[in-house]
Amino acid sequence: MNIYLKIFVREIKVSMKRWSDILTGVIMFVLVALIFPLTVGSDQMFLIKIIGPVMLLSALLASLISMQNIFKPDFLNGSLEQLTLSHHSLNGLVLMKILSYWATSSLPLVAVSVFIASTYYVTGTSLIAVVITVLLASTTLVNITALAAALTLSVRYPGALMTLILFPLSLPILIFGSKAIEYSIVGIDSSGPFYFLTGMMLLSFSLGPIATAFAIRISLD
Amino acid sequence: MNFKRIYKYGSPPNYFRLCLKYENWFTVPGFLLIIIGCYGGLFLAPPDYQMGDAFRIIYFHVPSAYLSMSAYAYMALAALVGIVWRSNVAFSVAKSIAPFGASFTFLALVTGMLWGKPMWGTAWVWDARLTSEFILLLLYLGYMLLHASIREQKKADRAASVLAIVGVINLPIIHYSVVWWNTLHQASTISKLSSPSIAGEMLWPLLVMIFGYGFFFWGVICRAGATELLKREKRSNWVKEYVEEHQS
Amino acid sequence: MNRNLLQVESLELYREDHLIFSDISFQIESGDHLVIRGQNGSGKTSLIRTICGLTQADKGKVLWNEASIDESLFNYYEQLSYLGHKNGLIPELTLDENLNYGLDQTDKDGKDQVINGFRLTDLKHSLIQNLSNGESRKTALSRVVSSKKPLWVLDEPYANLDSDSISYLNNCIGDHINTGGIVITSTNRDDSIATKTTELLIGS
Repeated sequence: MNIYLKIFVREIKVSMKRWSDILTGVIMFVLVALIFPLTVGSDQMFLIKIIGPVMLLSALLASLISMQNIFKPDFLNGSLEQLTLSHHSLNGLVLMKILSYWATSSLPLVAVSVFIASTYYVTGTSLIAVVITVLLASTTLVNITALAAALTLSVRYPGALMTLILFPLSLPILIFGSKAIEYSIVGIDSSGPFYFLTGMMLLSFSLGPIATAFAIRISLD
Repeated sequence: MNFKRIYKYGSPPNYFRLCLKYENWFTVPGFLLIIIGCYGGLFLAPPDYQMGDAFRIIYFHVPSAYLSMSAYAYMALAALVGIVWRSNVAFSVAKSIAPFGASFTFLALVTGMLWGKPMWGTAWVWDARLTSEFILLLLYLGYMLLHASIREQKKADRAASVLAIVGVINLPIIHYSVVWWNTLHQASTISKLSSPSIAGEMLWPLLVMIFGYGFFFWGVICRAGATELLKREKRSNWVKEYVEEHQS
Repeated sequence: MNRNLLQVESLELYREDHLIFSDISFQIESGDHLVIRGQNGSGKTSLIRTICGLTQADKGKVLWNEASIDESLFNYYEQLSYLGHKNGLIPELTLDENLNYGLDQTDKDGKDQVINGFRLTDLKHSLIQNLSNGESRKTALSRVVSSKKPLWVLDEPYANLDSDSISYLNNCIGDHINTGGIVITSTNRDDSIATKTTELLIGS
């Protein structure tokens, strides 16, 4: 089996065994998203208006709460240093880790977002727009989170620091993601924000793993 | 090899000596320009017909804002050089730029808010430039906090440098996304700001202030970077020699 | 196997202002077993990590077949198998999965033989998190021993091992250097465990 595929499968398998971590992220996502209707009231017009920011904010908070899980366990048990000592491209291996982390931490969010959007009275094609937005935004987010996690690997209590690193870098995604959802619901041409999100996804997947791999080498020094 | 020349030129003792030698070439003109600019801006320039004397804060706001952004670029550049050539000199320059950059960002924010009060009637408006200035402050704080959180100097330097470089790639994206988001909401508020046809007698003190801030900044960085370098290189012979030379 | 050569030239490492080691030079080639001796905290682990390229030295360099490892990292890592303080095993996976999902190419027979030699065959399908320290260590050692890489770098391989496993590990190391491999181990024991070694004493 190809080594990269092998690592991808291994990571998926390990994440499945750490299912409680996956669940933590999903629970965070659902709770944040459901707090809004419970606190601001269930006015349909208002909920439709805030669904965009709410979705992206929930995704950001969910990734913030579970972002330690991407490298920290491997850092502690030593398999991360084995990864850097392999003669395969560390960038490629890190890309596989990011992809598998995305598949296990963000794909469940994408699935759940359908349910949440419908509780916000979103229907029809707008529902698809919400799902695609969360899908695209989470790919960029996962790269930013991976970088932030790798940079703070050797910091003992990185909570606030991670937030500080994550927030400015993910701001464009939050803005354009919210717009993508808003435009689709209102019925304006939403291709612009979607193009932007796709562009950011490509940019983050091309630069993210390289920067993250470099950060891992630094943190292991 | 060309790199060898760079190594030699950018070697810690050389850099240190250059800094001390040319420090005053920046600080002195910087101070002079700032004094001239202050006089020109606060006394010579006529009051604005719309804002009266309140507009004079522009002479502090605009230079701080310019400097805060270019300082981030310099910091990222120094960080890149540090990572590529593993140069302690570049890392100490990057590290010493951060607090000054953050201070100027903070200054730009405060003066912006002071200016906003008479302009918009409120201290904070979700104006694109103020908002991205705020994000810039967060980027500086992230750099400094990351550097401070990692106990080992070498590791902290390299990790924080990666963040600075990623930040500089992201800065234009952040800026334009904020501008784009903003233009949808309150295009009218910023157009007041962005198209003032500024008169010549109002303009020259501003330019003088911008240059004064720049010179002053580099003078301060010369000294701060040299001090930082001295701290880091305290084991090496040239520092010992330098200290012995100056004790007697 | 080709002849290989590992040269270390005047390495020096500081952690903050604390000198970990300085002026360490040696040269080993195929058929050598280098034992790094030193008390706890004498910098054995830092030296080993520097040799592996995980830690960057402040001065000096490491050369593999006369090329600096910084410049040909992938060539170097193709020949290197490392076992650090941490075992590098994923606790949620079984022993067998850990060895199979490793990054090195191994052949099944050789691996089974090594697992058998360390008496781990019965534990093949247990999760690493259910194994004892010694058993996990042996699993990690099996990974190195069954990898077909010429250079083994083992940090404290004898810790937590029972005497049978120590003698089996010594056999493996003996076989490896006889077939042209290079082994670097570190230990804080004074008595010599393996035979036919070169020694490097660090720390005062």
